[in-house]
Amino acid sequence: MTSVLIPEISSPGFSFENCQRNNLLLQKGFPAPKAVKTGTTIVGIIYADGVILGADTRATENTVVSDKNCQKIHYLAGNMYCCGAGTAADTEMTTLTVSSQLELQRLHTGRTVPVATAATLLKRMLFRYQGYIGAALVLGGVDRSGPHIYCIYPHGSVDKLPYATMGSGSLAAMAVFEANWKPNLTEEEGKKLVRDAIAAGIFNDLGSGSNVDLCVIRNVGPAQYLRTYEEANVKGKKQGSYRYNIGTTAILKQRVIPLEVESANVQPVQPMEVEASASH
Amino acid sequence: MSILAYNGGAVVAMKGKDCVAIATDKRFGIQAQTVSTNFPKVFRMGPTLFVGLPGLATDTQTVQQRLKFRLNLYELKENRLMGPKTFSAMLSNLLYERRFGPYFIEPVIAGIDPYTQQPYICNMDLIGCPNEPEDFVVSGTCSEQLYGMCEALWEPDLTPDELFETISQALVNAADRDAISGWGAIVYIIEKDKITEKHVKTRMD
Amino acid sequence: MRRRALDNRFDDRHSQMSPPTKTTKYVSVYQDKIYTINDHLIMGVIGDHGDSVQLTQYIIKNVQLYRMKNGYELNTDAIVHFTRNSLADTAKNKTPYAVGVLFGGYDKAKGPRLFYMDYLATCVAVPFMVHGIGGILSLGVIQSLYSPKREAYALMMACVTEVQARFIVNLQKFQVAVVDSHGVRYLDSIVASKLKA
Repeated sequence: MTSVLIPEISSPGFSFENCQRNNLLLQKGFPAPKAVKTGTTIVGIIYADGVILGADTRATENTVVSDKNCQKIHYLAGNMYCCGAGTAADTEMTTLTVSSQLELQRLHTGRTVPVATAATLLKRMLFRYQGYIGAALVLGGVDRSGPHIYCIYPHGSVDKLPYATMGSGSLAAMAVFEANWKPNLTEEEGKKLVRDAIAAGIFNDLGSGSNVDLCVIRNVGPAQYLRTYEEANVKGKKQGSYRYNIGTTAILKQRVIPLEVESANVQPVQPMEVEASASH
Repeated sequence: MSILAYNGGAVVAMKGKDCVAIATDKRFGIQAQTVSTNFPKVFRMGPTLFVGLPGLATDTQTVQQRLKFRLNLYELKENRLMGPKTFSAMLSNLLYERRFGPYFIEPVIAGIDPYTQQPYICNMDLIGCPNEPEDFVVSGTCSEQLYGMCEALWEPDLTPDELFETISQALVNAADRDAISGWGAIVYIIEKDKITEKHVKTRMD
Repeated sequence: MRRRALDNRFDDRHSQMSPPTKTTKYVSVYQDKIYTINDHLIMGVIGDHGDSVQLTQYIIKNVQLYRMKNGYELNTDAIVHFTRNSLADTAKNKTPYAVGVLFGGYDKAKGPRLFYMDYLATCVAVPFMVHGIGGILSLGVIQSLYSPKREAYALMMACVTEVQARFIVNLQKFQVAVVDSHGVRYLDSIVASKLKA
């Protein structure tokens, strides 16, 4: 038992304290529920001046759309982003962990961290957990050796490709790439191609849907995150209102808790000098 | 049957104009047997911060206690209130730490940031994947019904009174189509200067 | 004065079989299922007897230890909270205690308290509740007849009558204990055979 004076300090890493109980419940016929999956289309290409990443924005729990506009392109560092497919929490937490490791590495070395480093950190993490961390990633970024796209699978294997797709919509997206990708695309051509690939996933794969997110990382200058680059499916405007009249709901009792708004004391804050996380 | 449906219950939260609302049913049962019709699933963690923890009731209680503990420790250390965004990050980490042996709850967080006064809602799956939409979040055994109700009823910029009617009707009508949710409901309307707690009349069958 | 009683069942399910001789017979063994934690809290526990004793003894000793260390006693809600935590922890680490618990306590500040707890360590305050198969049969009776001011002992007799009428297993003797501002005391057991007469 934890005492009040010695608070619990959770040891680093995963906790398996509930496993035995949960297995017991499983034996009793209560299976553990499924976590949110991002049945997804995520892609990345290399074009003339860098890389472009793309993703749809649908998250599903079985057949229910649990998030219509989620972010699947995760920040890793100023010069690289990472698209995630698979178990949503796993992609979120894996990229978050690696992102902080990369920032420490950058501060430690004082240099832009190469994309290969991120790929290595990610694959080590995923390989260590033998596929139980269900994250399928498309990593894209630029460094002094040029633009790079990596495909990282949940078991820790890695592909280094000029164009890559992942997720349940990967086949639809790859069809678009196989037909139209060529080396040295211009930025406009590249964005169009990525948009088409994601749209192919959105319209032909049930696990993918909603909007197109893009992220353009150029060899020079900061990355450009184009959140909701295109709303592939605009929701029809409601013609009427289904609003209930005030007083419809029967109330048994109610209580109002007033809050004391403390006087707002605004102090100017001088921003601390920090090294900018620029790409070069 | 999923373990999340062992005890039953539903929680929903919605954003309005400078306000948020969170609502829960009051039932607690062991599968089909109703044990209590006054079981709290939504907890007030700060002046304008609420969390709903529908799912397996023992984990509702355990996680609530763990959260309160970590929250108190934060407030003692920092001598300031915890904002809702920080709170959901804390909860997300708590849940993901148990990635391979999870607590069987799907939390909903609703609150107003004590510093920026921004309304905030969030829900998570049982391993802590956060979802922060602009309209509403649902959780519990009748989440599918709630999705349908909310999708039809919710409109942007609802006033506190309108928000109350919207969220109440969404929950009441969704729970009517779920055998293991209902038996009364509580709605909290959170504004920057007051909290209104309303006990809503529902069917008791 | 409000009273709240805890019903508890003595039953003959825990029977022992005599050595396999030619004349096999069953010997009923009655066992205590209400445990006195301190002078204002009782626990009715069903489940494996070993688990019940292990859990209740653990609680009793820790409550006593707390009193010795601090010079004052834990109140009802605190003991219930402690029990819930202990049960939640054992549910995770070892083979869980397969128990169902009803806590009846009298608190100076809060008055009479009744808590229901299951083997998963889910704990709720309730006005009345039951555990066990006989309990499910009684629940409907209590639900329809209960009011806080009603004579609880008579209500429990009604429950026993119902159990006698509906349940295939013959549960003979029901122990009854009361906690109020005066402390814990045991009332006459309700014996089914005498009810009919």
